[in-house]
Amino acid sequence: MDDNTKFLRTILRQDWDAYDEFMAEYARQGKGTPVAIIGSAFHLAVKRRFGSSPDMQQIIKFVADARAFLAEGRDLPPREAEALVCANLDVEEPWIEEVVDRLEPMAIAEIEGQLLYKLISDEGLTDQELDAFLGDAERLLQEWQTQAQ
Amino acid sequence: MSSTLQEVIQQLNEIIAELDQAAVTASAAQADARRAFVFFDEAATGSAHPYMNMARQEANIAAAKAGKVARFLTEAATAFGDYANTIAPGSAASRGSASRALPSGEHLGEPRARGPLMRRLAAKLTTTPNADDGLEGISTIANDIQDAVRPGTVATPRPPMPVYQPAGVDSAHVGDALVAPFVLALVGLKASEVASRLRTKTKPHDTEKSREKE
Repeated sequence: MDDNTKFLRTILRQDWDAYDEFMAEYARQGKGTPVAIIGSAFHLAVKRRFGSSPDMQQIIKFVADARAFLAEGRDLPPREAEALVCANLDVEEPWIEEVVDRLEPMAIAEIEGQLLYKLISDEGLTDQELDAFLGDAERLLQEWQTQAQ
Repeated sequence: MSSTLQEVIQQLNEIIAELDQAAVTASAAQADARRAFVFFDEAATGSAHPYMNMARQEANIAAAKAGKVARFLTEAATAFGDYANTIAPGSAASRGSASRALPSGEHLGEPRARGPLMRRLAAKLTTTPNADDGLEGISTIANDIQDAVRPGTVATPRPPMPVYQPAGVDSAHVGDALVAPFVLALVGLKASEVASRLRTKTKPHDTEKSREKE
């Protein structure tokens, strides 16, 4: 598991002491948010949650529940959140493409990171299961990086 | 598109955004009412006090109503989006595919980038493993999660949103949007009244009474 994956793991596990250590180390190295691993992990988590029989009602309800959960003074944009879930399910409607294509990587990571936490939290994974999931996310990311070359 | 139609579409999109926000508020209200019900249920164990029973019942009603409100608001937002795209295709964030199932898991195959949009999204995220953002993004994610899971955190009910009555929607559904926050406020008032009475009961006055009995 590389450092970016371990960093993401601290948030998914709510290990805030380890999170603080990574923040300090990354700041020292001048490294930023690990957007790539967040993206691949989110892709996997969305497929696991909605892949068997996805429909728009379920996606809308999931995003509404996630926003209610995170609603304390925050603002998770619903249209962008729904569009990112749909894009990761290979749904290509005009409004989804329009929203996703204009989002910058950091905005995508912020939305997907929060939704990822909700998806993983809902599954109630053990430490072992979470590590296996993150291992799959790392492998998927390597495939994406190979395809992008 | 004519300017009049443009104005109509703009207003519809604003309505959809406000309905989305109201749905979030109602979902949060439902979660709070459920927590209140658990609290009253535990506190009322062994008690036949009428205020405790009333508070428990009202928390239960509030949770049911808030959940119903959230569902209706979401459906209304979907209906508005479909309507906007009927009169001006592509003009609104359509959620009309609610009635159309997406491909089943068997067709999705292994979880890897597939269509052109997903390939573009994956490429955007893998251009560099880490953003050049000074850790602002992950800090936002972590802060939002920490605030959400912090013990004792209760979402503050927001003021009732302006009520729109879309054509074809029963006015009772719209009226329910106003009921939920007031029921919650009533539960809150009853709770503080009950708590005050319970505190009064446990003051030295009761201790004196028990001494008299001895």
